[in-house]
Amino acid sequence: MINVKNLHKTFGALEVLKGVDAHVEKNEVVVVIGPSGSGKSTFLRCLNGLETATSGEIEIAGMTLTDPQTNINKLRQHVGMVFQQFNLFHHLTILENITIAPRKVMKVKPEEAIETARELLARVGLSGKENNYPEQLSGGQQQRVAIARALAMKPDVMLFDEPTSALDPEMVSGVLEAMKALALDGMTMVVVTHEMGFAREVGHRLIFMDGGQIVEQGKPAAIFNDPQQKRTQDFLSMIL
Amino acid sequence: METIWQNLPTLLVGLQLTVQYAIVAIILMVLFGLIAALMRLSKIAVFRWIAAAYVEIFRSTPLLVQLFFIVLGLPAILPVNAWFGQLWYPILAAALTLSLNEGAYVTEIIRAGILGVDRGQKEAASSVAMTNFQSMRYIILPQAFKRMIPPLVNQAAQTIKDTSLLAPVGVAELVYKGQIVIASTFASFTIWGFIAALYFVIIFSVSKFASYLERRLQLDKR
Ligand SMILES: Nc1ncnc2c1ncn2[C@@H]1O[C@H](COP(=O)(O)OP(=O)(O)O)[C@@H](O)[C@H]1O
Ligand SMILES: [Mg+2]
Repeated sequence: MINVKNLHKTFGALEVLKGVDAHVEKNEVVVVIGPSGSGKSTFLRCLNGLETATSGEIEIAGMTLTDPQTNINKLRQHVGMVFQQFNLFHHLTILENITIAPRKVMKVKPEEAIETARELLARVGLSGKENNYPEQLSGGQQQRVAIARALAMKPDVMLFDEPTSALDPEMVSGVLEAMKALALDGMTMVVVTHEMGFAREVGHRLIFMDGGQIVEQGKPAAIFNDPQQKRTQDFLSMIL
Repeated sequence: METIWQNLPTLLVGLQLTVQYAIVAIILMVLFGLIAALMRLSKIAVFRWIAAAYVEIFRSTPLLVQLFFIVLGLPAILPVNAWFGQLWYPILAAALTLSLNEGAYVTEIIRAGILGVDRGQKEAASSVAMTNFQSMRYIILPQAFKRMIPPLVNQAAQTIKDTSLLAPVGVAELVYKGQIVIASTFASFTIWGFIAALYFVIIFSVSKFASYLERRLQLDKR
């Protein structure tokens, strides 16, 4: 589903990704952890073209992102993303937040888009909030709407960039529940998170990034119990 | 009072022209401002340069000089009267110059409004596969527009006042008609006072309507 070869990304003089190779299977849930500034967000944002790779090759959802011929918007229809800060459209209602892209991008009929949106809202436990504005919802609720908004495009892959980091502690579990349900439905997911419980329980594979490189990867339980690399050990001892 | 009453028809003809020029200029200034603002934010350097030159030129010279130059100066070197008609050229040129001038200020208002929208909004729009045009049209501009209302209304009020500068290039608007009336009645104090009151009523109602509109939008949506 995702195939990344020797991905480099520099911002000016700063080299943020220093040759990342990664592979994600269909239906796989990959959790990415690592210290702040290690390039996790940049890696994720390269996967849907929010950042342009400096060099290397990215294949995702059957398309080659790094090929200049590829229509980036076509590709993004297949790759959903959930942001740390939710980024719901402030001027639109919850229902409009979810229906606008299907309607404008995929030309789905309004009634059909609304029906899908209602189903998705029910799925993330937010039926009845259709006509509210994002600011009237708690952070946790907004993030679940953001998940529904991404799902409305019927993506093949979902990317999550620290989806619970901006939330009050009591809001975290609702979002993680929604993500877990999604994983159980067989969605292919790449999740950057500090939620080690989620990584252990839901993740099929754990990737530890540091200094713009993948330092170690494997089954979450294996890495938590028996990290092979010194840097992984140091990081885990700090956060666990 | 008597003087005003007697010359009211003349003054109202001028007022009508003032209002017409103002409406045309306000519509066009938003259009020009929007186009130039999008050009200033474009990835294409030539667009950015053209828009920047437009804004700087019109903001760094007096409107009155611009009007003299384009309405009266250009016909001296270009056969614009033949192209547009002797009667039409001054009318079109005056309206267009006024609109371009106000549009230069509107460009900066709209540009600031667009840049004021959180970057995450554009990224979210991109992430759900919207094109640049779609995210501008459906996500960024609607949010930018709300914060642009107060400065845009200021600019509209300025535009209404600036129509008075059309008198020196021969547009028979309110000030022009006022001068004619005064030339025959010598009632300088009364007529100028009345004309000032007319401008005040129009501009004051525009601002009031705008703050009502702004409150409505604030209540409706965030
Ligand atoms: N747009 C950008 N311009 C310049 N530097 C950036 C930009 N985005 C990220 N960086 C830098 O890249 C490094 C990695 O950032 P990021 O990918 O956000 O790390 P993480 O998500 O792991 O915390 C940081 O040093 C950050 O300052
Ligand atoms: Mg990050």
